[in-house]
Amino acid sequence: MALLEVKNLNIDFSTAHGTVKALRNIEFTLNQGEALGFVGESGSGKSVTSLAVFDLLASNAIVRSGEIFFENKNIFKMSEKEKQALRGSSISMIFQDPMSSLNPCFTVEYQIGEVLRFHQGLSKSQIRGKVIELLQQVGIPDPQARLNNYPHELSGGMSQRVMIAMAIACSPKILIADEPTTALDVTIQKQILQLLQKLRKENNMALILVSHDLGVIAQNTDRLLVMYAGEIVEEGLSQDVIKAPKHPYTEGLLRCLPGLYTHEAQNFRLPTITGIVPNLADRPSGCQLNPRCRYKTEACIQQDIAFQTINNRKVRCIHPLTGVQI
Amino acid sequence: MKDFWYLFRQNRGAVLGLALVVITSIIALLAPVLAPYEPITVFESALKIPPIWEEGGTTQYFLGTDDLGRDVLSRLIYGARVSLGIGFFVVLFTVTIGLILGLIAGSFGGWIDAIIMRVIDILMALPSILLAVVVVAILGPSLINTVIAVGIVYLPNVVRIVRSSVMVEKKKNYVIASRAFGASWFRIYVINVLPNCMAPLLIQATFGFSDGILNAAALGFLGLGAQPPTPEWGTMLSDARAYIESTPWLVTLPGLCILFVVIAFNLLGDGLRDALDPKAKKN
Repeated sequence: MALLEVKNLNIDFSTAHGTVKALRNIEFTLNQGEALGFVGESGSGKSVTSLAVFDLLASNAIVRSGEIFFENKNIFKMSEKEKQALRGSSISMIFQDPMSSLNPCFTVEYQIGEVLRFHQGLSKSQIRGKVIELLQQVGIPDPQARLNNYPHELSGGMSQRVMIAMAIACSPKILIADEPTTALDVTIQKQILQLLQKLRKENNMALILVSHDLGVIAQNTDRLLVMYAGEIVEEGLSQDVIKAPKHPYTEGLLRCLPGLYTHEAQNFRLPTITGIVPNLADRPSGCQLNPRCRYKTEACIQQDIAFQTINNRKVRCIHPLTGVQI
Repeated sequence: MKDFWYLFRQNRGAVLGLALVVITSIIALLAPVLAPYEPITVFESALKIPPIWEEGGTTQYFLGTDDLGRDVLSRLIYGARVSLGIGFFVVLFTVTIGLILGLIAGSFGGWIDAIIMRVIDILMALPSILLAVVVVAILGPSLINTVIAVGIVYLPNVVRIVRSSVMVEKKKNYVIASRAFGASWFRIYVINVLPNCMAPLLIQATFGFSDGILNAAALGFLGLGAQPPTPEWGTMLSDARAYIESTPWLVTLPGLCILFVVIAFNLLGDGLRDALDPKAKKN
């Protein structure tokens, strides 16, 4: 039985420019201890999906249809109190910009302690011990000295470690990391990703890693979902998808990665996917990628494309690629 | 805190303002010790004695006596109590109510926000002294009603400041993060957001002090504030205005007191704004 099950999720945003169909027919499952990656361009719906998992969407979001089951309980049917009890204790999240995700007015000890206090009701002295233990776990040197630091006294990597400490304080079953390393430099990025892997294994925690960086996703997840324009276009084991993409969009993303081909020619220009992401308020008909796809045919424009299963892979394309080796 | 003090000290006016505020507060607190007489004691044999530097002044009544033979110095010293007290309670009243209304309006938005802000707009549309007069006319003139009237006049500033800070803060990542960690409305806004809104509020509160004192004095002058024989500066001005030609010091002295205290609080407020909110600093 899956830990998290998302079924047929459709979410719209009502904006000044009309209704934006942000998510269409999102379906996926997450098992205990598994690392799942969401990958896609900006605006592809990765963050919306991860926020929807514990019903944290902005107030202009409308859930058109869909169900999200966490341990067989439908999140959308829970009361606000039940959801609050869930957030931060069973499902936790860390964010893109760690510096601004910490409250500038409170110390590290207070902020981590707050989570422990209202989810577990620990006393003051218990909290201090636990906070020090957590800071050690996320690899902060000399945790005792950090307790009374304010966020502005911490570096970016340090702030993200504090965020992670907050997120794992109540030993969640799922940790959602929404672009956790985008705001950090590369060496810190690696350390943070290794830390997430270590914590996942130690606590048998499921991880949802959201990133626009296929390289990061490929190295750190078991399975990945490629998202485009609010739809899942490809799903499969990370290694399989990276090695042999079936959807033209995934192939395009992989070709855009520097380092794989750049060494081949002197005047090499990094390929890009031509065109831009469609306006979600005014979607193209048929396959969402068709204005940008080099394999498109008439059929791609005329019909909605089903998410079909090929072996242990799923792909939303009527001409899935075969034999493309990256 | 160290940074704050450093920035604050850069502004000499602010330090002067702070010093004046502290001195006035000490005078107000120690009024019974410092004042030579009771403020309402009448010396029938000593009417309209001029202050010591004028011809006919005596050391017995340092700043002279008024038309009823009360010692002006004592009345001014006790008046500091009344005026600062009014300022304090006006700020307490507006900040308490303004925080609650501003927080509710800013955090919920939608129709709740619309209702609160339209009422505030109506309050702002009325000339402040007229509004205060109306409130006092309804409630009746007394010191407590003066505080309420002046407080209502000042309320819109506080509500708008709190609301706008909350609206800025609630878009910040740490608010989303604290929702993601399961915080309730109360925990998010009262415990996490509110401390981040304190800097502009503190500045506004300082100006509220001086505004409150000024408006209360105006009401006192109109006979709608503190009632005689309360030694309130505005009331003293009003009582003495009939003798402005024969005994000008009776009008001048309380007027100067009001001036100094209001300037002191404004200087302090400016200094706080420069130190706490560098963006608002005028270049």
